[in-house]
Amino acid sequence: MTNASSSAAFPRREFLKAGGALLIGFAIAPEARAQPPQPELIPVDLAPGPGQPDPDRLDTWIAVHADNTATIFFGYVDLGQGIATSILQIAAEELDLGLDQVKTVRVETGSGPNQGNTGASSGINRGGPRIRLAAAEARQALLRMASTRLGAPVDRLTVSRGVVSVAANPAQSVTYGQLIGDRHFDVPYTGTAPIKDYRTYKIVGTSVPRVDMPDKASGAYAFMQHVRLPGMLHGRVVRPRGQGSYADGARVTNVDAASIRDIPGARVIRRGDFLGVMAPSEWSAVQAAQRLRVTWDLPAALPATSAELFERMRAAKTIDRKVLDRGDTTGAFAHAAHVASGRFDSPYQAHAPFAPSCAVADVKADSALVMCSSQGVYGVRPTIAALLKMPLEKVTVQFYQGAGSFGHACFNDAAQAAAVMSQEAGAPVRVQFMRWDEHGWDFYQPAHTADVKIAMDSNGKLLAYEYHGWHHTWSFTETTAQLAAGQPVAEGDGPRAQALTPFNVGDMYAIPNWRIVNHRVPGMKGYLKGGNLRSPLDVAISFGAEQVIDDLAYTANLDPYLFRRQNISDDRWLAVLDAVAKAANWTPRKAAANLSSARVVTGRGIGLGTHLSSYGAAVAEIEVDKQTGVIVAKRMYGALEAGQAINPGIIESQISGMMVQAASRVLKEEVKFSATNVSSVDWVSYPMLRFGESPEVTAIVVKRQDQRPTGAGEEALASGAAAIANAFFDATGVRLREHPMTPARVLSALKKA
Amino acid sequence: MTRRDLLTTAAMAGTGAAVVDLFRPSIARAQQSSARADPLAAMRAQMAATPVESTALTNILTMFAGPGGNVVALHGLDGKVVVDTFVQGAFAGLKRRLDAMGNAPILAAIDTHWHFDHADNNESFRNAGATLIAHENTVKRLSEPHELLGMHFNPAPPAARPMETFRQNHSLKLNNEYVELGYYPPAHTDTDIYVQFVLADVLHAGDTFFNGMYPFIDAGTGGKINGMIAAADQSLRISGPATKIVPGHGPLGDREALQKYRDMLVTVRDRVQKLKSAGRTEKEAVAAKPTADLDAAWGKGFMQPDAFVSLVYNTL
Repeated sequence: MTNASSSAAFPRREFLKAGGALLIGFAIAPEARAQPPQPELIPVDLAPGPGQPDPDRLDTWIAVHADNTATIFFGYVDLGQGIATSILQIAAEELDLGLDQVKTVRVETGSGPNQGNTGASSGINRGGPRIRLAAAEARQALLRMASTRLGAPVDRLTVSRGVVSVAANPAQSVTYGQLIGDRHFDVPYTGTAPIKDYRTYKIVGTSVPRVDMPDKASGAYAFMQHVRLPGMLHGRVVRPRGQGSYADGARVTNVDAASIRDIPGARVIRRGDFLGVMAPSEWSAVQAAQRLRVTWDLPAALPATSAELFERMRAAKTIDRKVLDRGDTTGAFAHAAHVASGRFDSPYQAHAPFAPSCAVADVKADSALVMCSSQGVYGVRPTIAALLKMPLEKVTVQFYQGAGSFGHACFNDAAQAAAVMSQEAGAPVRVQFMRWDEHGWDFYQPAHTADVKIAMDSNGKLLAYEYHGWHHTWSFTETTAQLAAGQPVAEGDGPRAQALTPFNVGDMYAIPNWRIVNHRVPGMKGYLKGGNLRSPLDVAISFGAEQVIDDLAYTANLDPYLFRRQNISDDRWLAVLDAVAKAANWTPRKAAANLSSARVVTGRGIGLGTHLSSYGAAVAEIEVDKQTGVIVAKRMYGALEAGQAINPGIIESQISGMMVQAASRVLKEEVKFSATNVSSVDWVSYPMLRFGESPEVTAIVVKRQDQRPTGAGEEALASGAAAIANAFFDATGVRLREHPMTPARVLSALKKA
Repeated sequence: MTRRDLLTTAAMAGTGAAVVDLFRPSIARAQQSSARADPLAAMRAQMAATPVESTALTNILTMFAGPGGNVVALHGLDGKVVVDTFVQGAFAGLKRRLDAMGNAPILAAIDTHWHFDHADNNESFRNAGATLIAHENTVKRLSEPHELLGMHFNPAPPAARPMETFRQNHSLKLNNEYVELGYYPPAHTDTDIYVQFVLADVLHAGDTFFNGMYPFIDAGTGGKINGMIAAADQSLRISGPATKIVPGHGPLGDREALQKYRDMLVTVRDRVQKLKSAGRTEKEAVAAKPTADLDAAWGKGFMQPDAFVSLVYNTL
């Protein structure tokens, strides 16, 4: 495989043949519109700035070719979640083209629009409307041209597969390709073209097969790891096995370059505390990285265990923000009939992609090309320009799909490392992380510890809901930039950076008295590098809060599904809850009512959760071996309502993935560390769910075709975690308040009970 | 002293066009003569002529100041929401600014309270497709005739009355923002609400907060000084150190500005209460100049010091 691909075979080149002329002459947005990146702000569908095409021109979004096909320029990347297919469905629908007549191109800086990072389920939610409106506007422009060409008013024309015909005389027709073929529209994008009524959709709302799958199945698809350039060297980073305290980085005290002298062509690259090795052959680079003798200075600044970590976070001088304070929570607790509460602890968790990060950089004296799997090519570009001391516009970043991302690759350590090494080498360099680099130097989902307290009246109606959560936020400085350029560490400090919100804390219920307090731990010294992992924070929140809801149902002698039902007033939450209960054939009874003395017991649980604007619900059926402490998630049901479903089949796949990942994160995953550094550096030290352990999943897409899409990439994950936690109580009558729910914790909890 | 007298006192304190002083004193002076003919029409015209200033609060929230109480607009792919609507005559300008934010529909217009400088364009926004949202008392107050600051208000036409009302709390979810609406027990009026943009950390406190000046208190519809202090406390309780706090009038504020304002209210209340408890009449209390040391800082807005002392005295 290593020599299978060359750059000449890539889809980008094919595109250049078909529509290359269209790349010329893109207007660059005026400098005045430039804004520094502000990751805390609420993302919108555009991020204006220099060195990118003008979003207010129609040609930035769509090109129609002579062969009667169209290319859609989309700013969000398909990480494997399938949004390229869905976006083409939207475009084809509005353009009246067949799905086989539209394609997307590789996302890259300079030529592609900047719609911001692909994160927080934004691809269809925020990216879709612009494509839909651009397609509608292109269709309108084409119909005007056809009207002139055919001598018939626009309202007498019909379109099918890009062939415009006069309704009364279908023989009188012209194709889009004939009308504009490979020329610019040269009109502004106004966003005012009328879009189709969703009830007339023929392509949107159908589960067409994914456009990327045939090439992936046949092996023709070029993943990032396949990219090769002529004259390219192979590089590896050399770092301690596992990161230490974020702010402290890692300091090189001694490098013995002689230790790799016998490896042909191998050389050491050092810039500041950034160390790498390069060699003409990949195996030589791997060996050199293994054998290079380096002494590191890593201070013992971390807590020694997760338990110590949680205490450190709770004792820290935190930056507190009362996110929401509705009604009189304190007073309501004082007068409530029943109060349930608990402390819940959630560990650091890793992205842990199957294939480690990879990037190829070709840095020349006055320009740089970087190919990587970043979730935001425009986000990573300024970090690389700064490292290379090169003007932003001279850096081109291209996206190639990697293996799983889940929020991993926004700043892209591997891309930065490849860029630094290529600049040092004066040749293209391919950097692939070793497994320990990947696991050990990830941006982890920050650990979270919570105090949850919820009260109800004597009728089982929720009265008060109070949630306190402690965590640090996301890091914005990548390790390469930190080590190579001494870039100071930075973390998000805005209200939206890794923070509790009403959406993920309590929104599902009607709560008259509701308080959410975010205790932000300054996370740069003595903590790990934090990042956004699929459904950030939500797994921890639902794992805790939904167990407390279950406790109240138990106290009220009510079935947990019916208890939730009577406390929900929002139709959309009710719909996902009902949908999942129906699919699971849920028969009401009190939890833990069928406790058994058998060695292996079963339980079922239900839970709710989301990230922002979509609605997730899950039911889990599990087995617990009381002798070994092993929990097996046998079957999971996940329901997701994400507004308009563009491709329900793709959303089903997302839900399946979410349920499996929920089981993995709640049962297995925990980043471990010592006082000096992370010790979870491979699949043994960071166990996760194996194929054979995966639950059978039933995915339910609750459709609201009259609504805007709200995002379907992560929002049912948290409900899955909650459902498993509640199923454990149903099976054993015992609550586990920390995850992962490992055999040791299970046995310890059962013993105490 | 009757309620009517109180209101007249407040109005006259600024020689008949006091309200306008708050916004643009020069315009106020220029138009004083017409104010005598039809005070409400004149006031609307004067306010509508005030230029609009806009301040970006976040990338999806904008504050507009000028022709009435401060407006906050939320925009995004789901649609737009405005908090308060300026006076009639300023609608076209406001609508033009909202239209410039994109093609998404205007989904809702929220009234922080019933006063015309905040809710005057309800009907126009309703005609533009917005749902009108307010506290239930706003509907009640808009359905009644009122005399206020020398102006006569007829009951608002049904189309100008809020369509969606609440008693304690209400929330909206759009543009990945959570908008929390909550009731202040009687403070500036008995219809006051706050509007909190939770994820953006922005709070619109309506006219419970006049930033940097003595506030007006509408005793005729339930306003009172102790309610104003309680409302300020409530705003302080629900806000944080980084919260951007939009006052009903005056420049964009923060927690520190609100705290100073709240402390000023308490100081004035305590001093006036002391005079009142000692048996001083309203006239004597005003003559005692209990706010003399505060007037330089707080007395340059719409409410003149003597009128404010009267309001405090009469609502204690």
